[in-house]
Amino acid sequence: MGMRFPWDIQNDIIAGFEEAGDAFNQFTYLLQLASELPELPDSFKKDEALVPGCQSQVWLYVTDDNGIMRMQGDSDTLMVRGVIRILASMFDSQPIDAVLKTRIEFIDDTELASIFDSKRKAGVASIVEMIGTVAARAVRVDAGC
Amino acid sequence: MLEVEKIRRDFPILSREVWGHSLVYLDNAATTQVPESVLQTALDHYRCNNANVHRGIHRLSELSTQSYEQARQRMAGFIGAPDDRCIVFTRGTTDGINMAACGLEHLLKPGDRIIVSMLEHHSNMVPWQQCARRTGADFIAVGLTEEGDIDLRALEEALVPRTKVVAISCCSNVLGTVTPIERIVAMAHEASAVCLLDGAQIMRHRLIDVQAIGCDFFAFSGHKMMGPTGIGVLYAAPPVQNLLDPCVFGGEMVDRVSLRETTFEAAPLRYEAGTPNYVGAIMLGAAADYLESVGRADIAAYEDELIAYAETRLKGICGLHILGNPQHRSGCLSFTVDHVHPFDLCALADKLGIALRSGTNCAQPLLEDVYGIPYVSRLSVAFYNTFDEIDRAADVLEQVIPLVCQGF
Repeated sequence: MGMRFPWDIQNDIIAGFEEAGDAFNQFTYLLQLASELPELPDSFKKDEALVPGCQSQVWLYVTDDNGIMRMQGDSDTLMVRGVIRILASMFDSQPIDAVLKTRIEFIDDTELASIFDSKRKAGVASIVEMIGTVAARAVRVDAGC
Repeated sequence: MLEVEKIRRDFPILSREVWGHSLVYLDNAATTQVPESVLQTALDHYRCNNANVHRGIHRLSELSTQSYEQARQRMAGFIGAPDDRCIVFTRGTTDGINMAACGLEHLLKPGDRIIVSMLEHHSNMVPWQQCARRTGADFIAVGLTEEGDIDLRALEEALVPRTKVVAISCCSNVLGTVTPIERIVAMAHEASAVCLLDGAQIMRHRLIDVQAIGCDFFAFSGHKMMGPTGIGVLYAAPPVQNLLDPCVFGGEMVDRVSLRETTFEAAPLRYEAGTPNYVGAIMLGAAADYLESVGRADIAAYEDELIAYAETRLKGICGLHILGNPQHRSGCLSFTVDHVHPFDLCALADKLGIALRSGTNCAQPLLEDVYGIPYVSRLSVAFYNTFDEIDRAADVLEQVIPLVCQGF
């Protein structure tokens, strides 16, 4: 079986939300995804790792490992843990250029668009922005900029 | 005896669905819903009598001004004020308290004291904190008892001779604690301090007679008593009106303006710069009428029964802890659940139609310093809620708690 790119994984996730059904069941699906995220050790939950702009506490580690993205994170709320789980499944151990090519669609294409209030959406945008920043920086380094 | 089902028909929003479920609206401490009669007042005014107030000589301006000033008289009667000159229309409680803090600032010198309590909403804490910062006055927040009442002994000790302002909530928006305002006002006056009461959460829970209570200032909001947002009242008792400087300047509050100097209108207009929210004020008057027609004492009694029932139901949920056990609780209660984040709990309960509040409830010092927690969930009732709705909310909480429990 060939490599699965972030957009393939995202499509599966979106299908999972659609199969879940109504807003309550999509939310519980998100909570189930949250339970699959490995917990970050307490020693990793440092203030320096907090993502600004999130109402929940979100600790995120996103690095470029020789052209491969490494990502791990955690949150004090399950709903955001679920988002981190989705993003980690899409991007962790993926080539940076695949990360840069991926459009985030799992919010707008599911009930999450209405489930998440504006503050939560802003928080998710901050997480996605951090991932994009690391990826873009990696490409600039590669290109010798 | 309230006819709740009949009352509910006055609020069509209550029959809507959210996420495919009947709405159970239990976030009334944040804002209450508006009955049709109050909405109709706005429509009628805009359709028939709308014009700017206090400025025109034409018929519509006169009619609009009359309606605005009748609302002022109405609100004076609603809170037992001696006359309508004591009633300043504001944008709400926060605006009124800021107006008082700014207007009284000239009384304060380094070493003077401002007292609030640990119960306070940010809107009755931060304006005074900042006022103290600007003037060099001491800023003291009096602590609470174990049960979540104001510690009156601590208040007595805090009332030093140089106390100039005591600003206290009538009812906590987190614990539901109803404070002994008559006693607190008396204590403040014995120390020769001015006393402001934050009435945002109390308006449906007791009859307010500001003269009997004796407070110098009383602030409240329209949108927590079935009125619209963007309107409230700051009551200023006649003896202290001259103490309050205006802090917002412009049209309407001036008498004569020249390049050299400006003179100001008498109260209350001297505190109402610019075009007021006159439609909001007219709607507020209509909201006061609505509450009177339902029966203010009946409303207070029924809401106390509802919140007591909610407390009983929620106490029966394993792992759920209600904050505080005050002598008298009205309007709301806040709670935590072991290993559950309030955001997760309330977000999931919402998907089954239950509208609760989660977060800091604008009371970070209360939550963090008194209870050592960052967030809570809150349930707050109004007289259009039913016991069945409380049961439904409790059942939903029992259903969703296992789904949002972390790590166990």
